[in-house]
Amino acid sequence: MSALTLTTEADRYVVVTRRFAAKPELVYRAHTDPAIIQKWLFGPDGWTMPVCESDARPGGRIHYKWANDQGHSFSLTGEYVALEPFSRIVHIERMHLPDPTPDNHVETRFEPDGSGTLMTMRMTLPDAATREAMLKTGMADGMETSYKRLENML
Amino acid sequence: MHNLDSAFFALSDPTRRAILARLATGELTVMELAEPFEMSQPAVSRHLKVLEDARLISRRAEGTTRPCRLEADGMQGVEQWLAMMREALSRNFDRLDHVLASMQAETRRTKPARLTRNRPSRKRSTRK
Repeated sequence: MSALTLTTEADRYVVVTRRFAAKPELVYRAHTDPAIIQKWLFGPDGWTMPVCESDARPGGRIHYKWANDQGHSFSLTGEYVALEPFSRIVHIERMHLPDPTPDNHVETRFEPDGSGTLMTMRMTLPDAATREAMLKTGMADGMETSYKRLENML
Repeated sequence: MHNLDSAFFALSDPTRRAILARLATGELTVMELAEPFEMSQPAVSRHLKVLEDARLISRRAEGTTRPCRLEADGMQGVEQWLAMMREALSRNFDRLDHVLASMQAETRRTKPARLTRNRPSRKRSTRK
């Protein structure tokens, strides 16, 4: 398990870095292959990812949908812009909450780091309305709950 | 759009954090804020300008003074969103750690070579 950094850059981007104990090829595949994405990209307990489409080629479509056990759901659509196996992915995405949020331009880089990978993800900083909408999906509540559950287990 | 960078810059200074902490109890004038700090009023005013530009505080005119107060919404919005993102991403990536471990186990079963020794000579799976 490794520490995540989350910082802002030049008022316009959010930059996330994370190290993984696997080669860039595997980390890249885990970000592009829908069968693998579906195993991890679904947030807090109680949420599942019933739809996971990822057509990893330039112009290829992305469609994710998440649902929780209280009947809430939201989706994300996007398009791949550029792919450089196994080092770089550029894509555009937007959430539907249910109105579409402004396009989020995301660049994800995978660099060898010892025997593992350093991933750097740079995305567009969402505006205040989008942040508000994201918080209102109930993701925050669900996360808080599952976080507390985890604390109780420790 | 709320300016995240200026908020982080504003929060990076201990004097400005102390000013925010004092404002948590209510409105204060520059003079009142300057009191506990060994600092001139103009110096405190410069800090207040940074906090105001970052929309962490607001000031209103009252006679000759301009009392300051916290802009709780601005701060909460940013912090909540960042906290949510951090939490969501951390959970997903912790889960990805496990997925990668099982992918590696799979790779080892099919290719006995130790992963730490692997050169990128393995065949590239064209994922297009």
